[in-house]
Parts: sequence; C-alpha cells; structure tokens
Amino acid sequence: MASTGTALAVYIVVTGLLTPGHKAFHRYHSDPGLELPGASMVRLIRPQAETLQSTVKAIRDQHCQMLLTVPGMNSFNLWSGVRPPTNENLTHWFIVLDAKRQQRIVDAIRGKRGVCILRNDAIIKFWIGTSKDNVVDNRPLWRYLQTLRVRDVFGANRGTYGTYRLQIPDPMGKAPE
Amino acid sequence: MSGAARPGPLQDSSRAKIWLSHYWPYLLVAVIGTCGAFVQISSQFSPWDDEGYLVSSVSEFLRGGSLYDQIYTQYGPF
Repeated sequence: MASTGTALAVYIVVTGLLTPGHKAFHRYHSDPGLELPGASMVRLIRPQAETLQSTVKAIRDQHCQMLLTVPGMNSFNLWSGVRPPTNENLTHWFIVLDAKRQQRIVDAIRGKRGVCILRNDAIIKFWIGTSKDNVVDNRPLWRYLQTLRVRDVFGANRGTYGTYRLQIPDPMGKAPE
Repeated sequence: MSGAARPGPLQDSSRAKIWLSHYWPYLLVAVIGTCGAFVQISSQFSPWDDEGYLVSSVSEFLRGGSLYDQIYTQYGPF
C-alpha cells in the first residue's frame, strides 16, 4: 500500500511538476534576455523583446523629458529613465483617476517642452472594455489628449499586443483618432 | 541559572533528520514550485503592465514621496 502511494506521489511530481518545469526552464534559457535596466533576467520571445527594446530606444532618442503613457505603462518610464509627468500613475488611469487628479497631469504637461506620449490603442480598448462606466470622455486628461495635435515619431508592432506609438505634441500635427 | 541542558550538535542533527524525514515532500514541492514561479514570472511581459505601475509606485515612495497624498495607489486601507 505504501509503495503504491510512493509510486503515485513520484508519478504526480514527475508528470505534474518536473516535465512542464523542464520544458519551461528550457524555453526560458533559449529566449533572449531583455536588455533593459532592471529587466535582464526577464526573457521573452524575440519579437516581443525587440518591440520593447526598440520602443525604449525611440524614447531615449527623442530626448524626452517627460513620458506620459496611454494607458499607464510605467515599465517604459523605468526602462527609459524618463519620468512620468506626476506621481498619479496607474494602468487604467483614464477610468480610475477623477477629474481633479487628471487635471494635475494636464497642468504638468500643457505647454511644456520635451513631453512625449507613448500610446497603445489595443490596450486602451482592452481597458475600456473592462469598464462598466462611460465616464472616460468627460475627464480632463482624456479630453485634452483627444484634442492635442501630435506627430507620430515611432511605431512598433511586432508583438501580439498592438502598436506602441510614440508621439510628440506638434501644432501642425493631427489630433489622435 | 537554569539547569536545562542545551541540545548538543548531535541532538540538533538528529532533529534535522527527523524533520527532513517528515517534511521532505513539502520541501521538494516548495523548491520545484519556487523554480517554476521564477521561470513563469520571468518569461512574460503583460501588456497591461501592472508590474510597471506597482514598481513605479514603490520607486516613487523610496524617493521620498508620501503614499496617497503624493503617490497614487489603488490599494490601501481606506
């Protein structure tokens, strides 16, 4: 009886933990490391790693002094070393931050030089899909970004999750769609 | 002064053996689970970037920002 129990335990450990673990470990070692600050131990499939790395390079090449991400994707602030406009940081900020908090961000970026905006419409759509309220359009930062004229300076789409577009305010540019 | 004898090295090693004989399956699962969790966490980047938000909040806090007043966070007692 005891030997049956031991055999069963060994079978569960081997099939349930060791085999998938070995496969995952092998995949981890075959994928390239993310060459970004603080993320060298993260290993992603090559297209995704290249998308993230090229996006960060574009942010650095633009010499951005502030980086607003839409939606909040604060890893890009950490990787690029470019700080967000304020400490009002959150992934789905356009749904959660109230008018007062959004206005603080508008005040921090309006008319300032060196502001860059990193936008991913697929992830915005994902977040808006999770929201039950339809209050997004009325809030200051969201409204401001809809009317702000911008120029796309970079776009990367080699992953599964839509395009990362780096934009800078431009009086001659177009308002985002 | 207490008269209780402190366990010697031999007693300690016997205790460790007894402990291991009882709990080795848990230890094995914990070690394998830790390795698995590390690989799982380090093999993906979630595009909604919850990690970035949380690490950024901690980073601002360590720079001297005060929670709730200066650093927005969804999580907390209030």
